[in-house]
Amino acid sequence: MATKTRTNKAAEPTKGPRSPLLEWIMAGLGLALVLAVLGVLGRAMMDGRDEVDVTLRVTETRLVGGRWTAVVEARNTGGAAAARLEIEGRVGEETAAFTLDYLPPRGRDTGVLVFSRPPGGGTALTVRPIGWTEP
Amino acid sequence: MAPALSNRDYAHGLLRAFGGAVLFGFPLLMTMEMWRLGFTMAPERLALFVLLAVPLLFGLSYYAGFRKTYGPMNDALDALAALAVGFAAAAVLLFLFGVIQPGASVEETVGKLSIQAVPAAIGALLARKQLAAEGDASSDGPEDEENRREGYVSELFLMAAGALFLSFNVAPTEEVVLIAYQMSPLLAALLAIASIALLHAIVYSLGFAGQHRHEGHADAFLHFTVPGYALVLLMCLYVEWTFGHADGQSLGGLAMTTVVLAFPGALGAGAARLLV
Repeated sequence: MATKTRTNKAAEPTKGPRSPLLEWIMAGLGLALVLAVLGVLGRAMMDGRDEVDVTLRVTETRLVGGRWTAVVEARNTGGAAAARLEIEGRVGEETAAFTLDYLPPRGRDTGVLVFSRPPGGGTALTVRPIGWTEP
Repeated sequence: MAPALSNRDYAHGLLRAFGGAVLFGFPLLMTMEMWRLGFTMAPERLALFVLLAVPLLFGLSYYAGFRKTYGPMNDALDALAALAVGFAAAAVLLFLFGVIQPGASVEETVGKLSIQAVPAAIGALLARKQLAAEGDASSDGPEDEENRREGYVSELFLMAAGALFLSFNVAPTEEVVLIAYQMSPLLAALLAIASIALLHAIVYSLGFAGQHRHEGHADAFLHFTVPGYALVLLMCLYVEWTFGHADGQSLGGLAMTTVVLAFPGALGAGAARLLV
């Protein structure tokens, strides 16, 4: 039995079976993954992550069940994450808002604003971020 | 002569490692705080976390591992392979849970995966101990395993690894901080005493090295329980710093959350022999 080949490690250091090819492949894969992760994180460190930079864009408006909805895409081009990001939209006097739980650095997410009158057309739809917290 | 180990045997070990990674990794893979930590954490802390995982996994491969290993080269290869398995397990499950979305940035995906890959890799290395059947040829003989585990430094390493493993499962959650807010300093002190008592009870009843020599309670307490709890506190501090729980806390607040986190940590340190 192979289980009895060695009881004292110091005396017989490397008397094990030769490593199969798959073992080297898996270890190589692990090493490559660690280096890749460090590379990506290293690049993030160089970029600095001190600010959140939110850009908003209305991607779609349509009538759903008698209400007008506007899909808003939020994009964070900054290096820091935003939490509880509040976004407000306005059509004339009417305002609507939603909150995104998180917006990762260089990430994007969408939310929906709901209005009783059609956005665009006569009265333009304006969107703006109101505020966020640092997670 | 030692028999040649085939790719097939190794693949069998890998499969078991994957099972261990999923079994031990799923609570964290299903914890939402972990998903967001992938992109809210400072990249240098995440990089350090991944780097420190390599020596930890090396040690775990030596003491446990997903298969029988021979020599440090073997353990180094297995530590890296375990990380690969950890990444794979995290990628598959996070994809299935819809946590990893195709449109996300590389940085976000890498962050989410790598913070989960480390605990999953620890699970992969615990797989043999937990998932191998009795008398499986891939198990070390009991004497062999005991030989490796003898020695004070080994015991302390196992305790630290056990503490890290269990405390990690609750560390990212809001509850740790919330519990600390709800506690008075007196309750925190009582919890610390309870943790130490529990650690001692488990250490003593599971028969750490001290008990083989029929050490008295006082000796075991001084040799294993006290340094063990100190290690638990250090591990918890590191984990809190990594997860950002330590940021902006007063010294008193930090001490409270550390004591809270050290409760599962102490259980893990005590039960290290069962886990690892």
